[in-house]
Amino acid sequence: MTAVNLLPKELKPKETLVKLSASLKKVGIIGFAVLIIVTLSFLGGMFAISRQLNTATERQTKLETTITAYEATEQKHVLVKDRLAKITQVSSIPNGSGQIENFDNLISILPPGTAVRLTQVSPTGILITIAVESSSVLVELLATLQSSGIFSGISLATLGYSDEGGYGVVLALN
Amino acid sequence: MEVFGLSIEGSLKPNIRILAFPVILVIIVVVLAFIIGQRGITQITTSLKDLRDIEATSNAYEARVNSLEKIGEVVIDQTDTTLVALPEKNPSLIMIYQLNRLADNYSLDLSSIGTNSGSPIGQIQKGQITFVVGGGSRDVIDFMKEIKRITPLSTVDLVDMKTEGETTQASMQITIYWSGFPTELPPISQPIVELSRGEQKLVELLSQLTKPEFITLSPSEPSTREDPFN
Repeated sequence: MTAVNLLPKELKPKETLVKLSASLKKVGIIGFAVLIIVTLSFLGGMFAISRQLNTATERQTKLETTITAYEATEQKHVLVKDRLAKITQVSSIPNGSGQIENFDNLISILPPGTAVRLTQVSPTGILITIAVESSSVLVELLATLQSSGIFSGISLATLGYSDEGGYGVVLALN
Repeated sequence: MEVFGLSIEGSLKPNIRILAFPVILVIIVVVLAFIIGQRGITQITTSLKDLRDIEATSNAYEARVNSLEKIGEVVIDQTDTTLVALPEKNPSLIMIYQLNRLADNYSLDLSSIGTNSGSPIGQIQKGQITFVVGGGSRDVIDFMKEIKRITPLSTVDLVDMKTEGETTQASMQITIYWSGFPTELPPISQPIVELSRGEQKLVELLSQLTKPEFITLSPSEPSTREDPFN
């Protein structure tokens, strides 16, 4: 039997709109399905990340506890570093010890006929008073000092002479 | 009712009715997709960032623990060595004891011992010790040379020597040093910097210096007195 549409024409929706409606329904349903899948994926991802976060946080907490247990060692290490830095600073302070070594080397090379009387040692150099028997010994003394290489600078500060003591020289050495 | 010359009941109502549900459906899907997408991506990005940060911090902690395990027992000796060389407090008495011991070793007379305060260099405090040492010239020179090999560390400021024959009398001024302890530890996330080769060498050199002997008196056990009145 032929279908009879008793609806008046003006109450029927347009054909294009009917097709559009059907397409929109399909899009809506597919979109909804995709949305559900994406949401489930997000939830799955969040769950996995959350578990990793818990594990990482546990690891961090354990390590913090271990570090706390090593606090005494760390304090000592920090102290050692601090001391060494300051000791290095102290080592750079001008020190007369080097000149004492130079003085020791000096008196080991003094020629016969010389005698040390007064010596002043400071970080910058040595001021020494030496009694010298004769002028030839004086020449030998100066030559020996110059050739020894112990001092980069040799200055004859004073030269005196007396009949009893012979020559008395004051040398500034640095 | 007519809108723009068209009858709503006539032509718009069925058209609107057929499109309403699908349009609303699509709008809902789009809005939900936007909201879920934005929140989901934000949440995941934030969580991944947190995870990365925690892992980076944990790796730093692990490196710190490994360094501390390596440092371990060695640091105790290093601490003693460096502390004796540069003490926390004024070591004048210790240094005077060391000088006396040194003078005894060389059979020298040590006298006129005095102390002065000095102006600090940054966090390093200074003090001066003056004294007179006399005896055989060779011994006096060896005594003076040996000062740099004893701890606590000192520097020689001035020596005035008078030599007569084989004997020498030397007036000396030396400076001693000390410094308070650091008050803060570095942040826990900062890696431990182990001693450099230069620093290790310095510790070795310091360990070879002559240290003061500290005697620890242990308490004696109580004994019975047979005669309590004597």
